[in-house]
Amino acid sequence: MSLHLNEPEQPAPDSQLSTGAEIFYGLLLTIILHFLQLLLVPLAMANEKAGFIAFSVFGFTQLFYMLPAILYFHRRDGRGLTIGLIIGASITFVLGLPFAGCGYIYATQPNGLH
Amino acid sequence: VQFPVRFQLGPLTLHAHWLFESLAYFIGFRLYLWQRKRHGDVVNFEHRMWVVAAAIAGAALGSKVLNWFADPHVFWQNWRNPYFLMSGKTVVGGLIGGLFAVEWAKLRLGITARTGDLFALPLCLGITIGRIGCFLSGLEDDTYGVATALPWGVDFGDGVRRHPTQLYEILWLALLALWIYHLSRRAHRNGDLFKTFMAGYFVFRLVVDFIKPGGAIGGLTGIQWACVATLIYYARDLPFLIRVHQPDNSPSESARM
Repeated sequence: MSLHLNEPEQPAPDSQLSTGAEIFYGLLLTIILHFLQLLLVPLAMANEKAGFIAFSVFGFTQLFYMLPAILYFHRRDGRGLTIGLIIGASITFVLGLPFAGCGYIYATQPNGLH
Repeated sequence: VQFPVRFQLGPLTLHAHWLFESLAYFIGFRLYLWQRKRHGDVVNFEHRMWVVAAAIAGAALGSKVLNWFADPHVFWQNWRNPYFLMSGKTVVGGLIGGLFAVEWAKLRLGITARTGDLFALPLCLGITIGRIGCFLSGLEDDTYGVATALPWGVDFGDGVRRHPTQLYEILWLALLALWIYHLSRRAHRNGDLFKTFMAGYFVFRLVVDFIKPGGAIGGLTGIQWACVATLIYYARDLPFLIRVHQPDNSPSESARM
């Protein structure tokens, strides 16, 4: 039986601090970029049903700005920022799904949500 | 208790599922960070963060994709409905998606160390907290069991007493966490804690999904087929995972998490 004997990699405290800060900035940037979802407000105001559906697809519409941002920072070697953006987008996607579920119910029930 | 349970937080009404799911991610991640600080890590910080990012992204996608195929009949009836495609997710798909995304990321980064042990206990805790939300969501969440005459059957509001499969899962995860903790205190190979979690969880899901409603193909649901495939993936390690709990059986690489 072979063992997976992997020596722990040497930690680099300064590098760890800067990468950690970059990841934090990446998460912060995710939140800031999410304000672009305000572009959906006119659609949301069209009627109640359209509004509910518009915001229920939050996890998907974020791809329009999150993917370019991730690619941009990845190409510019902003590794920490890229990691932060990926984590932020994934969390948004997962937590946004319950709203998508509500949107599904709303769209498929004759009388919407009550 | 009236299902689904909602919590009032000032002017906000929070759905139990969303609240407990958010808590699950937060508390699970805090436990992970605490373990990493206490026990150290086998990879450097940047590599670990890439692994975490891959795990979260893979889990997000995997949980979604497998949910489509959980009940193939429902999928074929609704695959053109965008709202069906967007709603729901499954833990099994999340674990599989996370697993493959991490392996892909490690391959790209040239990481050969087993990196999953630090995730084992946080996953147990996180899923446990999440399942509380599933239970409190009642019939709105597709995690309840089939009808039963057993005394602990729960009426989620439709007059039918059902297996509280969410509570079964919580109980199983508590036992699994104790087992993993016990293993972590003894000689084990790097990676065995995560494999023990995966094997233990997928065996449970394979069994418990027999008492959940849902369409089957070849006697098993889509989620159960995914469990079978994952257990085959880990089949090579299963004998060792069982033997490793016997004292003086294996050389110690590390007793840390």
